[in-house]
Amino acid sequence: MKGALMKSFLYCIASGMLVSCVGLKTVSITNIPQTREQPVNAKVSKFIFLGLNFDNDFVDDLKDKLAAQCTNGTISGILTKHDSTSYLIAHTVTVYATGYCTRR
Amino acid sequence: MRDLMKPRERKRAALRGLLPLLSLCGGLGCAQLHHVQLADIETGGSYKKPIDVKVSEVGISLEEAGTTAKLFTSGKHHKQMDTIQNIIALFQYGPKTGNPVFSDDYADELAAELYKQCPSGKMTGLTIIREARKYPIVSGEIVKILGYCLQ
Repeated sequence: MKGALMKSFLYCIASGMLVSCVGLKTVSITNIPQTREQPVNAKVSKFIFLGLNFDNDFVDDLKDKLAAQCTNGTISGILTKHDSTSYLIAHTVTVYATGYCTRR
Repeated sequence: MRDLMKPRERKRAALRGLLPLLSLCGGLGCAQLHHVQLADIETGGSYKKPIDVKVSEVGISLEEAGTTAKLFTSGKHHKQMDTIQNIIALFQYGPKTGNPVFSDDYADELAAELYKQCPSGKMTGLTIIREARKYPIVSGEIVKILGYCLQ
């Protein structure tokens, strides 16, 4: 009986770990425009196994992904959110950016 | 007594053997992302010259230094090392990003470097990245700005 309880408790902990925990690292925002008709958003992420990560170049694509959604305009009011989702022996780093496109 | 020391010696030898492996892994320099921020983006229009500014400083992890030193010293010095580590930790108490550095003035050069690369001052799509390259004991504490200069 005690063994079965212990086993279920361990399963609960293990499944909790697999479901993962999210940690919000940083948030920043730029000036918000008056006209906010066209929202744009982009996301970049990287899966890191055992903490072995040799560069953060995946972040460089973020501004190009946003710019592609707003040709000939200005993207402002950009909210940048950086978070980390931890799994058992790995984690995913994600950077989200949302903003508003104002056409010229 | 000699027999009692054997397992400990074996453990130390194993740790010494493991150290080059860890150093090799650490020597590759694991990158750690601390902060990302995007500035407003202008699309279309005039020619944009890419700009890339990076400043860095050496950070030191005294915790790692102490742990590594313990591997190479006898047990009687471990307590003294723990005391030294604890005293230093008290001086470095508080929130911090990455390993401690001797001076954070290295980040002050960023604005001047940006203007050097973009004398017009018309910049767009700036991505500000605070990251670290971690090696055994030391780290490179980096601030990087990528973006475009409008001509």
